[in-house]
Amino acid sequence: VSAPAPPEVPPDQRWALLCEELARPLAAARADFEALGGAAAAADGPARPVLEAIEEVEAMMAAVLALSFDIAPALQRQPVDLRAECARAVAAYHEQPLARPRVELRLEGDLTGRWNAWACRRVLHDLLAVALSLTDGPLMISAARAGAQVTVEIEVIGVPMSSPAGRALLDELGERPRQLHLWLAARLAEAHGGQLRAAPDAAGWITLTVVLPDPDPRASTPEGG
Amino acid sequence: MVRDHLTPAPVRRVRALIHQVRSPLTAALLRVRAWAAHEGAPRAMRDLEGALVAADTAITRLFPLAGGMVPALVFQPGDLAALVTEAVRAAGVSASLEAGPPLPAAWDAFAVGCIVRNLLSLADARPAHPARLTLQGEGQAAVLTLVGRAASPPLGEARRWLVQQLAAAHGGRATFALEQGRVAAYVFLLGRAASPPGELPAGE
Repeated sequence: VSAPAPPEVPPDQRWALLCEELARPLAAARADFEALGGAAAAADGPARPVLEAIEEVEAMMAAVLALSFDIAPALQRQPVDLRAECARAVAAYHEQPLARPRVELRLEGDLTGRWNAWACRRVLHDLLAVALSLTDGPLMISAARAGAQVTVEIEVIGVPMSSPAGRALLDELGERPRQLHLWLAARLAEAHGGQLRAAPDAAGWITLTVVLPDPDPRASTPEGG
Repeated sequence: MVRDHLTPAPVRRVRALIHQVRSPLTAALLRVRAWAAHEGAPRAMRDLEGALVAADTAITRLFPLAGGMVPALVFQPGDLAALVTEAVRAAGVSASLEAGPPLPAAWDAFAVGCIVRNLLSLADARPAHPARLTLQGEGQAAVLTLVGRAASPPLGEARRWLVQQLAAAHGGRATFALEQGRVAAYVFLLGRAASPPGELPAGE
């Protein structure tokens, strides 16, 4: 079921047209939401999650389409507080009925920067999913700033890098990851000029590390103050 | 050296991405449907439901193209002449449409709308010289023809590509001719047999 595109139409043009076609109904949905008005659509109204869903799809559409065309997404940057995003990812996991391992946070210093908010959420969500797939035991998420970049590490406590799971992870990251979570996290980190890697920590356990350069650290103002 | 067997399968990956993109919309749609079903629900709620369905339809149909797959069309019984008429109206441009008798068969209404919208964008459709669309057909086969003064829309090549992809997914093809400032496009569409009333389509 493959339909190779005529070679004369560059991928970035096909991407741009699909973005246009898919943005049209989303814009109509947003307009219909606004037409609702009243208490339902208010900032704390019951219909608010609908608008948030529309905004989430709008935020991810261009990037995800670009990745599907295998072209680097041009991510819009906005102030992001990775401290809040890490806490949100962990809280979302612990709310799941089948949540098993305990996930601890160790966040140091100022973790604000200018990144793409959706991509940061996605990277944290995907790395957490990868780490959770490797263990039934505890995880430790730590994040710290070092100069003009923030490093987030997820330590899979008790699972050695030398284990079959650790070696499989290294194999995946050494090539082009097949796992969607790993592939997406790696591509989104790269789209920020950063990278994703896996290495053993001091105890030899699997540690997933994502490095996010912050192009202008002093310009960052975290969302919500 | 790149090991091919480790390259992510684009089809599987794109399908997973489609699922990721649809997930928030699906949750929102379920919420809106529950509200819209209430007696006395405002009309705007039903409009919102329709818009969310349209957004989901567009993603489902078109996103596979990003992974080199064919558009995922869904064929439903309908009259192609009515679908084209509605698409021309929705495009909101100056275009005359000559459509013959009804062409009942199973068509993908979204794809027809997308074809007509992108076809019309290739012609200069100002009131002074409206584009002319003609729909002719017999049985399940139809030819949609566009003749008009050529326009230079942004992403023109990509629009022709999209029309070709959608026509091919409809069992047909699209060809374009550009000469002396005039554009002519021929889109052949092959509908599927519409099931007689009360009978389920094959495979269901």
